[in-house]
Amino acid sequence: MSKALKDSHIMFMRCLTKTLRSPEAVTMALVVPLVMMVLFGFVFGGIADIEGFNYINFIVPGIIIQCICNSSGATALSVHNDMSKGIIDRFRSMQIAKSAFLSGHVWLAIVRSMIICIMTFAAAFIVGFRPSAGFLDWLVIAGILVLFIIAITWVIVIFGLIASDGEAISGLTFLIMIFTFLSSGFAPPETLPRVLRVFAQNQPMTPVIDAVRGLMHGTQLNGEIMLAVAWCIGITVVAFIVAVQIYKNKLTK
Amino acid sequence: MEHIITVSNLKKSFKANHVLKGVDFNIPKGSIFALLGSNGAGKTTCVRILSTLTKADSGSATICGYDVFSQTDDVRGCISLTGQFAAVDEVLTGRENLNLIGRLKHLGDYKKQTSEYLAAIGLEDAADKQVATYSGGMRRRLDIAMSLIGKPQVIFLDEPTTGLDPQNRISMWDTIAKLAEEGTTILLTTQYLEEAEYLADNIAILHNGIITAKGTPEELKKMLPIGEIALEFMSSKDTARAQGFLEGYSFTAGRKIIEVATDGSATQLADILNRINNSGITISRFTQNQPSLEDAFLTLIGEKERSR
Repeated sequence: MSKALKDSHIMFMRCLTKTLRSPEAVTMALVVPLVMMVLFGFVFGGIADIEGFNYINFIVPGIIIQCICNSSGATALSVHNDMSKGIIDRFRSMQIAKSAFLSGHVWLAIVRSMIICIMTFAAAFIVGFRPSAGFLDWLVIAGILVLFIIAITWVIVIFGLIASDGEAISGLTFLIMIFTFLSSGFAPPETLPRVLRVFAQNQPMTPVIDAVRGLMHGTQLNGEIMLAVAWCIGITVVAFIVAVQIYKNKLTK
Repeated sequence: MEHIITVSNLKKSFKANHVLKGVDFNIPKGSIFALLGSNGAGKTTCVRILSTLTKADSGSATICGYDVFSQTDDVRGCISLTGQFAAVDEVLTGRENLNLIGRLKHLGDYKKQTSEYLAAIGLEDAADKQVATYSGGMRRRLDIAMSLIGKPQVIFLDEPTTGLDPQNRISMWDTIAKLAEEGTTILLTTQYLEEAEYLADNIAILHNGIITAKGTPEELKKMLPIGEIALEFMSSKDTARAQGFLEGYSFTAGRKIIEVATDGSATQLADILNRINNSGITISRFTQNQPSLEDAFLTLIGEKERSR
C-alpha cells in the first residue's frame, strides 16, 4: 500500500472512531431518514398523487438527497474542529502524506452517506415505497447517488474550512437544505411561482432527483441521467480544487 | 561542535508587524536550548518556522542537515512539535492518541511503545478513558508523550510548562532533562528564567525580534557588569553619615541599607569597606548580591527601570 493510501486510511479510522463515539450523531443519522419518510409519507401522502405517482413513490429521491445533505453537516463540523485546534499543527509537522488529512474526512463522509442512503431506502420500503426498477436500473441509481455524495461532500468540506464557527456551519448547511426543497423532490417545479420555478428547474439537485425517480419507476427520461452525472462531476472538480486551495492557503499562513 | 539546528538571519513579518528581524542561533546536537522572551517576543513564530508550519520571509535554517524551507518533508521526519496548546484529540482515549501518532510514524511496534510511554507519564490507569476527562496536567503529559513516540532527533517544546501547577512543572522538567540525557536535542521556549536556567545548556534571549544575548546561563550572568554590595547599618543616622563617604560610587540608600554598585573587583570592594571603617561607622551586616539571571535578563531587554 502506498504511503498516501496508508496515511489516509489511518486518518479515516480516526474519524470513524470519533464518529462512533458520539451516540447522538449515530442515532440521529439512522433515525432521521425513518422520521422523514414517515412524516412526509403519512402526513402528505394522503393529499394527492403526483404525475401519476403515489406520493411516497414520488418523494423518495428527494428525501434521500435531503438525508445525505443533512448528515454531511457533521463533516463540515469535524473538519472545522480539527482545523481550529492544535492537532492540525501536530499532523502538519509530521511526515504524513499531504492529502491524508482531508481524504480521511472525505472517505468517512462518503461511507456514512452511503449507509444513510441504504437506511432511507429501508425506511421507504417500510412506509410503502414500491419501485419497479430492475437490477441495472439500481446500479445506475447507486452510481448517480455516489457521484452526488462525492460532490456534496467536497462542497461541505469547503464549508468546514471557511466557517468561523459551528453556527456558521449550521447556517451554510441550512442553505443546502433549502436547495433540497426548491427542487423537483417534493413537488413538481411547474407548481412553483415563476422565480422559484426557474431556480428549481435549473439547479443540480433536480436532474439528480428526476433521474433517480425515473429509474426507480421506469418512466421516460430525457437526458436527466447525463445531466445529473455532468452536474455531479462538475461540482466535484470545482469544489475539490477550491477546497484544496483553501486548505493550502490556511496552512501556509 | 556539531550543530543539529542552524538558524541564520531569519526574518518574518505579519503585514506591518515585524516579528522576527534577523534571528541567528545554532544548537549543538543533544543539548537543551532555551529561547527566552516575554509574551509576544516572537518565540512561537520562531518555533513554527523551524517546525515547517510557517514560512519565513527570508533567512535560512537547517535541521539535521536538511533545509527547513526546501526539504520540509525530510525535516518533518526528524522533528516533533509540542505546541503551546495541547494537540491531543479529546474524543479519543490516551492510548488511541498515542497509537494514532505511532501509526502515522509507521512504527512497527507502536502498541508496545504506546504502553511504555503511558507508563512513563503515569497515565496507565487513565489510558482507556477519553482525553476529555483528563486534567490539564494529564493532557500536557500525553501531549509530550505524543511528541516523544518514535524518538525524534529534535523536539520543539513551545512553553511546555505554561499553565501547569508547580508539582507538574517539576515533573515536566525531569522529563525534559531525561530526554536530553538520551541524546535528544531540545529547543524549548519559555518566559520563565528559572526554567531556562535550570534546564538549558544554552540560552538565547529573544526581544523585539532579535536575539539580544546568547550563551550559557553562567555566561549570561557575567554579561551583567554590576557587582552589587549591600551595607547594613545600626541606625538611620549611621546610614546618612555613611553616604558622605561614598563619593564616586553610584548607590541607592534605604533607611538602614545602602546598596552600592561596583565593577565587581576586589580593589573597589576594599576601597568602599576601608572608607566606611576609617570613618568609625559600624557596618552591622555586609552582603554581596550575586547578579541573578533575572537581573541579566531585565538589563538586557532594557526593562530594569520599568520593573523597579
